[in-house]
Amino acid sequence: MGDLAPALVVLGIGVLLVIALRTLARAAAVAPPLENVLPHAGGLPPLEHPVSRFHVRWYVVTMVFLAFDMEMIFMYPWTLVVVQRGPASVVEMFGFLALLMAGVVYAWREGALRWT
Amino acid sequence: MDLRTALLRAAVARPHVLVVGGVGTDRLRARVEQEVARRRWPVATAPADTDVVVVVGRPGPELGAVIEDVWVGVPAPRARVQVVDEHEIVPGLDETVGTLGDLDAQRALAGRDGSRPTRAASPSVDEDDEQHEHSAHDDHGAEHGTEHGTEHHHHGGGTELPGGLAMADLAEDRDGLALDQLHVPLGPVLPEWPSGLVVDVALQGDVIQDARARFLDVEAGEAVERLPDAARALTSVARVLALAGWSGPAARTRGLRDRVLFGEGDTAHVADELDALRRRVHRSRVLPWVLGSRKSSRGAVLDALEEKFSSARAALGGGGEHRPTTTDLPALDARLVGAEFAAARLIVAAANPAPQPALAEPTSTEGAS
Amino acid sequence: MSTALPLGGAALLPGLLLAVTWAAVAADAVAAGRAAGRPVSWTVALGLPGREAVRLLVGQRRRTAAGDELLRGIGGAALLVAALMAAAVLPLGLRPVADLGPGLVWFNAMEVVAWAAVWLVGWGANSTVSLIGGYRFVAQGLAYELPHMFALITAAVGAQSLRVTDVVAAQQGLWFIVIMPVAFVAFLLSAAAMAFWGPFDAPVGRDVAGGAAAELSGVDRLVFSTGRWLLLVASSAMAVPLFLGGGHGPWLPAWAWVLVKTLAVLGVLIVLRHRVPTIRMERWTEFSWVVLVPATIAQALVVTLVVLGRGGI
Repeated sequence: MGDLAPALVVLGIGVLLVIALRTLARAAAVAPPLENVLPHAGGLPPLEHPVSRFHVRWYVVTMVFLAFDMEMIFMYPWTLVVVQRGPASVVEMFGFLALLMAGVVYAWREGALRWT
Repeated sequence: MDLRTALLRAAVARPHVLVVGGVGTDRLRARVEQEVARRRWPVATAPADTDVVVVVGRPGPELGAVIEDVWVGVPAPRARVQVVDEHEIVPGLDETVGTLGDLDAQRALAGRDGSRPTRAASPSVDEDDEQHEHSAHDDHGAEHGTEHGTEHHHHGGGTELPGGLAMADLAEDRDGLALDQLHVPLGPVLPEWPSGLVVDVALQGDVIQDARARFLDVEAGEAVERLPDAARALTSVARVLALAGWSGPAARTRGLRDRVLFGEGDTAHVADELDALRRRVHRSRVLPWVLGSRKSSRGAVLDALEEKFSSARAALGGGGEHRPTTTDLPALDARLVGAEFAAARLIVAAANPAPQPALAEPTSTEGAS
Repeated sequence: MSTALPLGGAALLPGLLLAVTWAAVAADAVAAGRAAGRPVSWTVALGLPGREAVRLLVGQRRRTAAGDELLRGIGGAALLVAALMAAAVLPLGLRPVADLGPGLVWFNAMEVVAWAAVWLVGWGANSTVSLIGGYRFVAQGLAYELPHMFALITAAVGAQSLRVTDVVAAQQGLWFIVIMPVAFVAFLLSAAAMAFWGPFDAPVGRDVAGGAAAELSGVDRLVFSTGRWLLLVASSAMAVPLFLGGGHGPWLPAWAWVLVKTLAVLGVLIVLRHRVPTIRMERWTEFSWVVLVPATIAQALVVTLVVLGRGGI
C-alpha cells in the first residue's frame, strides 16, 4: 500500500490540475458558456438527436479481442514465473497462444477483420 | 482589466479561420485561403474551433441562413468579416484581429443561447427528408405507424423534446437488421468540402444508407463561374490529400493551385513542381493502402486522384487533349450509398461536383472519376 | 525494495511532462510548416503552445443541446489524469514517482482509460461527427491494444519482472531494443495510436470536422488536447525504460539520458505524423491482427527462449 501512495498523490494532482484549469478559465473567459448549441454537421440542423444506437460493424472483432485480452491477463503473472517453471510453462503458454492465433486466422478468413 | 486585455490580445494573434463561400466563389475563396496560409493562421475544423468567420462573396438566401446558424455556434472571442473583392481580404483580416482583441466588443458579441435563429425557416430541408423517408420505407412498411408518430414531433414546433429534435428511428440496414437511422444534412460548412454543396444523408452508425446531393442557392441549369481546369483539379487533389490525413502535400498542392491562379508567368516551374508532387503521391505505399485497392470503391478515389493530376498537367501544358470529367449529382448520390463516412468524404472531394450549365450533355458522367 | 522518488517528485511530474509537451508542440508546428512548404521559425513555434493555451483559456465554452455535459467533462478530465497516472511509473532518471511492483500492468491499465475517455467525449456532445470520432477510437483500440500488450510482456519477460525499475536494471549491459526490435516497433506504433496521433488520428480527423473534439471549445478543448499530448509524451517516454536502456548511458547523468531519449522518440513520432497519411482503423485492424500480433508473439517466444537459455537473468 505504501507503494501506491505516490500514485494516489499523482491522481490528486491531476484532478487538482483539471479543477485549476476550469477555475482559471471561469475567471479568464470573455463570456459565460454558450448554451444549447445545435450539433454541427455542416451548418444545417440535424433532424434527430445524434445519440443513437450506433451501427458497430466491428462487433466480431470485439469478441475476438475479448477472448485474447482475457488470455493476456494470465500472461502478465506468467512472465514472473517462466524461468522457475522452465520449458514446460513456455510450451503451455505458447501452445495456448497458437490455439488463439488459429482462431484469429479463422476469423480473418471469414472476413471478420474487415468491415468496409 | 489590463491583464485580461493583454491575455486576450496574446490569445487572438493567431486566430483559427473558418472560410465559407457559396457556389461560384472559388476564385475569391482561393485568394482568402492563400492569405490565411501566408499568415500561418490555422484553418478551423468546425465552429467550436473557430475565431474568425470569413464569408466569401455575397451568399444567397439559403447559404445566408446557414451562415447565421453557424455564427450562433461560434464561441467568443469571435469576429466575422465579409469579403466581396480581392482588395478587401487583407484589410478585412487585419480588422478581425482588432475586433478579437477588443474585450468590450467581445463581451457584446458573445452569444449566450445557441438555438438557431433560422431553424424554423428551413422547410425545404424537412420536406426533402420526409419524401426521403417515405420512399425509403415503402419496401418495408412494418414500422410505418411508429415512424409517423415520432416524425411529427420535429415538424410541429418540437418543444417537448430538448433542442426541438426527435430521437432516431429504426430502419433496416443493408443486412436487414433494424437499426437507428439518423438524417443529417452534410455540408456546406465542412473542412475540404465543395462550396455550396449539401448532401442529405441517412446514416446508420457511420454508413450512409441514402444520399441526396444539392447545391444551395442554385437554380437548375444556372451558369456558375468556375475555376480554370488546372486550378479546379488541383483544388480537388488538395482536398483528397487533406482528407487522407496528408496535410503537408495537401498544403503544397494548394500553394501550386494559387500560383496557377494568381502567379504570373512561371508555369514551367509550376509544372515541374506538379510532377514532383505527383511522383511523391505515386511513391507513397500507404496512400493506396488507405484509399483502397483498385478494385474496391475507394480505388475509384485513387483513380480520380490520378486523373486530376493528368488533367491539371494537360491544362498547364496548354495541350487541350485532356478533357476533365465532371460528376453530376445523381451519379454522386449513387456512389455515396453504402459508403462509410470517411470513404464518402473522399468520394465527394474527388468528384468535386459543380452545378452543371443547362447545355452540358448529361451522358458523359458514367465512370467519371 | 522500492526505489521511488520522495513524494515531492509527484508534484514535479506534471511540470516535467508539460515542459516536454511544450517542446513537442513547438517541434510539431515546425515540422508541419516544413511539410507544408511554409516554414515556421522556432521562435514563433516556441511561443505557440502558450498562445494556444491562452486562446482556449479565454475562449467561451459551449454546450450542445441535450448533450451530456457531465460525461463529456469526465471524459476530458479522465484523459488528462490517466496520462499523468500512467507517467507515475516512469523512471525520471533511475527512480520513478511510484515504483509499483506491477508497474507495466499499471501503465497498461491507465492507458486503456483513454478508450473510455475519448468515447465519452464523443458521445457526450450529442453530435453526429463527434460520435463517429468516438467510435473510431474504440475500433482503433481493438486494433492496437494486443500488439501493445505483447510488447509490454516481451520487455517483462526479458527482465523477469513487471517492475519498471527492474526492466531498466536488466538493460545495464544490453538495451532491449537489440534483442526485441519487433516489440519496440509495435510499441512505438501503439504509442501513436493510443494518443490518436500521426497516422492514427482518424478519431479527430478533418473528415469528421474534428471528430470526438468537434464540439469542444474553450477550456474543454484545452483539457482534452492537453490530455492527448500528455498521453503521447507519457507513452513515448515509456519506450525509454522498456527498450532504450532507461537512464543508462555514458557521460550524462541518468535524468539527462531519459530526457534525450524521450525527445528522440517524440521526434520520430512527429516525423512519422508528417510523412504518412492517416491509416484508418479498418485497415489497421487487419494489419494489426494478421501481421503485428503473430510477429509480437514470435518476438515474445524468441525472448523467452533466450532468457531460458541463459538460465534466468
